[in-house]
Amino acid sequence: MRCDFADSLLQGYFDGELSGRRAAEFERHLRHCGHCATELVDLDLLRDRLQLAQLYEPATAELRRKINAPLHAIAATTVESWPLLWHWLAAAAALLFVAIILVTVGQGVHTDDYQAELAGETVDAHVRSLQPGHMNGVASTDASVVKGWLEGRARFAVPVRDFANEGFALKGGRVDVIEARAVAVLVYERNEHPINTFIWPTRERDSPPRTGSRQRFQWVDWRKGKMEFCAVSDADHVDLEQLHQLMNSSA
Amino acid sequence: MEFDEELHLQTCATPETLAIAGDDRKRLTLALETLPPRFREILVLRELEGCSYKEIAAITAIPVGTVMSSLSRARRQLYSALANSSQGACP
Repeated sequence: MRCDFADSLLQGYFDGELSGRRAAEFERHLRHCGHCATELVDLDLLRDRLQLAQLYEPATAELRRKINAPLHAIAATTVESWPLLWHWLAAAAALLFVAIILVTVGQGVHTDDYQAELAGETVDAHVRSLQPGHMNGVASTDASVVKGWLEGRARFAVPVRDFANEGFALKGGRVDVIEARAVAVLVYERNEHPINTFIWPTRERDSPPRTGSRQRFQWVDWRKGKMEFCAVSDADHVDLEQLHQLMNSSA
Repeated sequence: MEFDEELHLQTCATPETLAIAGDDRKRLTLALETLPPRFREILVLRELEGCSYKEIAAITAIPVGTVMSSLSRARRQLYSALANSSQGACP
């Protein structure tokens, strides 16, 4: 018998399309539902199989050039010999602009919800970590020691680097919980301001940094190489942006 | 000397593994062909092109909710087609 969640949430969860709250709801369900857990594994196997089969090959650069060259020539000739076309192009561009604005605003609403939720949790976790005796992790400036400690606790490979030479000294690491999932945290220090960088695996594609602030804390969130990173601190947002660039270039 | 992953992978590809990969590719292609064109389109956009639901909805001009339900049905039909082809191959 199929589980009720199989259609309503499982597909969205597998494709990384659920909001944090809905994903957490599904993960709670997943702990007790063998059917959904099995189906999730099957979906993953099917995706791997489809992607490994190389069902089609992208066109080579040479073939693309051959196809595009005559198209560009036709486009150029048509525009030259038909000046009125500019009016239509202008109208189309205006419509396109409106469409892009609408799509961007639509995405913004969704992203804002997600960011607000995520920022709330990461900032709370950051504040908790600042309480005395709440580190509960490993305190070390040695990247290999921190990596070794996290390897035994996080279920994924955590990219650990020390950026002391660039002004971001590694202070340690720990495991925390964000959106009902265990995440790795790297702790850096910048001018005596602690920076918690939360890291967890994601199915989403790479994304540019998104920044925000909550209470007196700044955060920057980005995705790279199927990992999501969220750095939180009361340091200046320029510092967080610099840390993002350092981590991004070393990931 | 640096470890060349591509070169290493190439040397690992024996005639047997290539034959198995080719056979699986053929099965997948045939199974995909049994799907209705709309399901096939959505599945390819998601699994091979990595499009989000929103992108698929924009490309196919259908609502996001329909993308999700179609994807679910497409995957079920693909499983079923692959299971049938396996039974045919190994009676």
